[in-house]
Amino acid sequence: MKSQRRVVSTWQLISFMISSMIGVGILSMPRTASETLNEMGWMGPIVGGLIAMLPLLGMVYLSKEYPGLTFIEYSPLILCGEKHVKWGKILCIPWFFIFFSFQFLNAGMVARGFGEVVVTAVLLETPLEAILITLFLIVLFLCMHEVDVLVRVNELLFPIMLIPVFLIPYVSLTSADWNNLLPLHLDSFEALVETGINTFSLYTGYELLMIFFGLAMPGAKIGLATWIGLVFTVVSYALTAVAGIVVFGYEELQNMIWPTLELVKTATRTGWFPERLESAFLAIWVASVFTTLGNMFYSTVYGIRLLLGKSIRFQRILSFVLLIPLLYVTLLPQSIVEFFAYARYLTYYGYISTVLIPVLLAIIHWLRKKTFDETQDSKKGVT
Amino acid sequence: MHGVRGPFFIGFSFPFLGTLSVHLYRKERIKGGRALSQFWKAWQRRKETLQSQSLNLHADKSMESVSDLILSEDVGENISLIREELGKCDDLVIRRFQNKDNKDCAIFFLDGMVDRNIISDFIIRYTTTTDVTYEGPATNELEATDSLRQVIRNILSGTAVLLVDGNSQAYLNNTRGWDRRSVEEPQTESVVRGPRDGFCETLCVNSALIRFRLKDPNLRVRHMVVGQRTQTDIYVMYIEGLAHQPIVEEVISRIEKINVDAVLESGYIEQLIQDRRWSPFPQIQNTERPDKVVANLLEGKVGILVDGTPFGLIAPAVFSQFYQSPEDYYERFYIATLIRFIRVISITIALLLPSLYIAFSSFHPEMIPSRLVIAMAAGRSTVPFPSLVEALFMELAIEILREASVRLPGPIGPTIGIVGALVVGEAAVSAGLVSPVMVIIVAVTTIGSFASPSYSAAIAIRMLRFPVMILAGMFGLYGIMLFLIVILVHLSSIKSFGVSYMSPLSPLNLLGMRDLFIRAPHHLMKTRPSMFHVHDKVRMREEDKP
Repeated sequence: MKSQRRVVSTWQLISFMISSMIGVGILSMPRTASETLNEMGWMGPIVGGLIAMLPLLGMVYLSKEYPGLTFIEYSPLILCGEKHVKWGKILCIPWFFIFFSFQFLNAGMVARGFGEVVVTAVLLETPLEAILITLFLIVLFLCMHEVDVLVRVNELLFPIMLIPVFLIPYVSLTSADWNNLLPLHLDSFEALVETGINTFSLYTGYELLMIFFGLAMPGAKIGLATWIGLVFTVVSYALTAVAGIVVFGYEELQNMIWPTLELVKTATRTGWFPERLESAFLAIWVASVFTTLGNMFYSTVYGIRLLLGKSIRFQRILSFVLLIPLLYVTLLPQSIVEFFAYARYLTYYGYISTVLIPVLLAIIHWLRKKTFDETQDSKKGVT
Repeated sequence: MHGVRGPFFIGFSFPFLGTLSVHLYRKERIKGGRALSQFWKAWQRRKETLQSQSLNLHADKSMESVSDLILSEDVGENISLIREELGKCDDLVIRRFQNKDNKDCAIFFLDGMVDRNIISDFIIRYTTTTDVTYEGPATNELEATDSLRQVIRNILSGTAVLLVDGNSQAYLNNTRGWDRRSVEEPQTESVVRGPRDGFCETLCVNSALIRFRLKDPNLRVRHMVVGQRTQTDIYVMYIEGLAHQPIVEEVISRIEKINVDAVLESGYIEQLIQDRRWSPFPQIQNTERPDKVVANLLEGKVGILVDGTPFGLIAPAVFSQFYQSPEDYYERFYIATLIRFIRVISITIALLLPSLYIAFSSFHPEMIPSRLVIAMAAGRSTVPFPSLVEALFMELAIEILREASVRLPGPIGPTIGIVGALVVGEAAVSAGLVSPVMVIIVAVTTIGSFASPSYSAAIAIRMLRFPVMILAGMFGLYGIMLFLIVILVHLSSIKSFGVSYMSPLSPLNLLGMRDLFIRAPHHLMKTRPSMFHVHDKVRMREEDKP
């Protein structure tokens, strides 16, 4: 059973990681990054990526220690060892709750963010609820399938997602003013750290790998996949931030809700076949948002299924049941301002589940292993 | 692990009783939790019993109903036995004669299914003429049996059965020879360069067409009979030592599990053994071309030939069947690659062009270049419908035309096409019912859907065009994307006999990409595609290189 579920290849891990991370955050990122850092705003995503490295190191370390196990199976082992797995499970309940609730809320925020963009930019007459419900319906359809389908969908949608990520900087270069990037001078180190912490929410999604590392094929290069995925994401974020600053300048960026979308709008030429690109961009962006949202929601449902040791039927029913509160959560912010406020709170909440706990688990495991090794050594010394 | 501990509140006075009650209580709870699954199991059992009952019913009516008797030594008795089983069959011929030893003989066959010359020249003459020293009938395939059931089955499949008095063994002479269509050029998959022969309706001819192309002693042919009433012969072909044995076993076991009373075409088998029965996508490839079957056998797939149809099946199938044709391998690789890309583009057009038109014209007119949008608006100014209705109406009209021209007899078919496409289209435009752009779009869409080399793959695309049009009418480009994602999720979930439908794209296999969109030159494809788990990986050995 356990060997059967280990189906995820290295390439699938990379595409899964990148498409979970790149979601709706990139649309507003140039603004949030240059808020306090001004023209050096492109440093923000890089610092955010550096922060994400720490938990990723812990996660990779843990998955190498427990190959073929997801965090749901190994966290009780870390806390209480193999003898008291039941106690470990009980101790882990708060941690699981934090993790799943964060995924759940984050999925809601992603959906809401995308819905707002679509409603304000392209489908002006369509109610927000229609966008959200259709999006949720296809997520529900995804949740009807086994986990190998999820990773394969990510793999297939990944190239589609690449188009806009690398298209944005290119199309905007025609109206770029490179002087906007100057001076290359960091005003305060504190502002850099603060921006890094705030833009860190762009990287949420990598923590799903705590489940998917456990499903990786024997022999899949987990570490390599992680670092390629992270570097790729950092580069694409930094490029987008640079493009935003170069085209608009940081002052103008502060007045835009979705600067990345505005970037696409600047690429308008009379006589091109698609004369304006933003509708096409958003249509392709559905793929990216779908993978982020789908991965988060699927992982929540799948994680609960693993925790309770149930079958696919349980997952199907649960995903349907959970979509209703998800819709409620999604519609909770009454305006776009409230939405950004909620998103910021969620970032702080996310720190607990995405940074603190993986690092803590890794440290606990390391300490336990060390003491265990010492006792082993002393025993050997006795005999 | 489930140690039963006595609950402490009952105390030590009745520890035994306490344990028991807890035990019972636990059992009850487990029962409650599993009631649903138990109900499900009961339901499954009931379904199985119903199925087996209906199967028994079938069996009673068909071949198994023939009583499994042993023939007697008396010819007259045997004749009445066979007559009894076959009832009042007026096409059953019973020819009685006396052989060299003056024994009574009777020969049974069904009129029209046998070659009468063989019967008179090589059976009756050989057994009656005293000059001939050869004992028995002289047909090229001769068997003997004493089972009544076997005799009946052979009579029904065109064998002449010879009974001799004093011998309980019946001779089964293969005299099958009904009128059959000769090998002709395939109708649905014509190529410019490549062999012109296609399968016909006779199983042995079809398997010979494969055999003479593939003189591999490892080519295995498994004969099976499916269909309670039709008793259709099926050949499962594969190359031993190349095909992955579990796939072969899976194909055979799925065919064995089929319990249906009639198999009239390979489509029955295809639909009954495919993995996902509700999917719009064909998960088993069908073809009329023996060269295609051979090429696929050489990739480690399994071929299935069904008697009575010119369409053979190939399993497992992957998505690339939508746009790959055997011709790709016969022409130079540049042109083959180019043509593959053209096919991919035309399939995309067939699926998406009408819905893109709807999305652009009703949701995103800003994306169309200004001059074009003015021209389109001028064309649409007289059209009284929204673009969705206009597109649905036109697509429906073209589907009607298509269906009508298929049904019409040969010479009239093209006429209908010309009348429908040119005259009606032109009239509709000048009457202001549809815009000229719409006519172009419908025409291009239809032409695009014909470019797919596989008909059954093309009809999946043809069908899916309608829901995507409706979604485009509801949500514009966003709706199209939603639909594409749903299709993609579905495609990634399909597996055909354990092979992912989207392979080698997902799971990604870079070596498999040599023969996906581009067709690499033959000298670069030294190994077979690995996704079908072939056992002999090498196609071209180094020393064989010219």
